[in-house]
Amino acid sequence: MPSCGQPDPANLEGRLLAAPQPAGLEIPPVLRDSVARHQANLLRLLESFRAAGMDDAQIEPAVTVVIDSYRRELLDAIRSLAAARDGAGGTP
Amino acid sequence: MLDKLYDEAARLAALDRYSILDTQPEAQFDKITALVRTVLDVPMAAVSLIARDRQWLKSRQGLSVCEMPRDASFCTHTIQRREPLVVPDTTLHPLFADHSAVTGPPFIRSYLGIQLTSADGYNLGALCAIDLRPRSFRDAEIRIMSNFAALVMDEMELRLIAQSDFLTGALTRRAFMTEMDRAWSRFGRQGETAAIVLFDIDHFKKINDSRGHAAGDAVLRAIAACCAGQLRGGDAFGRLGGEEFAILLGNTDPREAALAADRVRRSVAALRVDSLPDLSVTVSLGIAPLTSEVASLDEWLARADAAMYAAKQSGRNRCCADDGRRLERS
Repeated sequence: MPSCGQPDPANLEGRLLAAPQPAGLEIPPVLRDSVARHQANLLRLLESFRAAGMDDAQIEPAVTVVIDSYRRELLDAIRSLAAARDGAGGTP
Repeated sequence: MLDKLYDEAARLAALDRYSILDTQPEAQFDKITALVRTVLDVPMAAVSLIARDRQWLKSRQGLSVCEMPRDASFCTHTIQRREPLVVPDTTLHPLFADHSAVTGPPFIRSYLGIQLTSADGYNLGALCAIDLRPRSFRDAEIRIMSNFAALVMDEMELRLIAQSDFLTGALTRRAFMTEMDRAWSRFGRQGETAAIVLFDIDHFKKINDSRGHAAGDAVLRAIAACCAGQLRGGDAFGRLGGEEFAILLGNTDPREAALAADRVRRSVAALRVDSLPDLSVTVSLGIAPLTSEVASLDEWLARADAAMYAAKQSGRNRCCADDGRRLERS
């Protein structure tokens, strides 16, 4: 049983909930809503796939494509925010 | 209050905020349309955005054109409703039976369109699946498409956040360059004029050094708000570096650009920052219209930069054009 609030990597839902979070990077507050919304949308997609009769082995590759793509964009967004904060800000 | 479904001006303004029209293809959208094609087993899928008079495709699978007139678009009908638009057989549908893409190539026979709705409730476009055979889309397939449409909006929202400067709300340098690229394309395609006004806060380092960085930040925010308030629809405003900003003026000739630049100069000179009532701030501005002589985006920006440098050199708090003209202060 996973600890409270921690996704369980043993099932697909758990992996979906953990996946958008880039390892070792804190998500800035301005992006947290976006990540939460994305996780909720991924879970709805998972439910829809299952309702359409697909099994997890079929679902996971499709969902992984979406997750990888979002994670890459999220990393870009985090880096872009960090660059703006550290390099271009009035506050050094 | 006008229903958001029928408030076209507000819908177009919402679309404009995403700064996505006429941008290059991006993998995150292409991956979703590729999945639509695979999961729904359709030959064609697209992320379609509906501009004032055209449909433009941010991502397309199996479709050869990237834009078409709005009145020839299926998706323009999708955005006029809240429910998915499901057309099992176009030849039997009153809106589409005589459509040129139904009676002629590519002979579209069925269509499923899901609204792409902004966070503030405007239908910006549609995620669509197109087949060349009649077919009924099952409820489960419609739900999957709706989920994919939500993921497209996730990507668009993320893109929007990433292109905003955290301190001032202006576009980041990268996003501003994208806007310049779009203006460049419009100039090449339609001859639509444009100009950039590049400006820098005079003696900003002195403000930071003498009053502290919090004061510097307050000045940056105040100037950004002052400029943003003067933009028209179709203009763009970005923070390119520490105290350097730029305005992209769409559909603007050199004379109008000079007038706009001087309006900014005067507004900033009259500005009082709430927390710093005794501080006067000025800016030096360089103006570079887009002409056929400009060979690249970098050159366009360099021209504005040289003009801004000339404004600094000639005494600050003034505007200079890239042809060397110093514009008299009013």
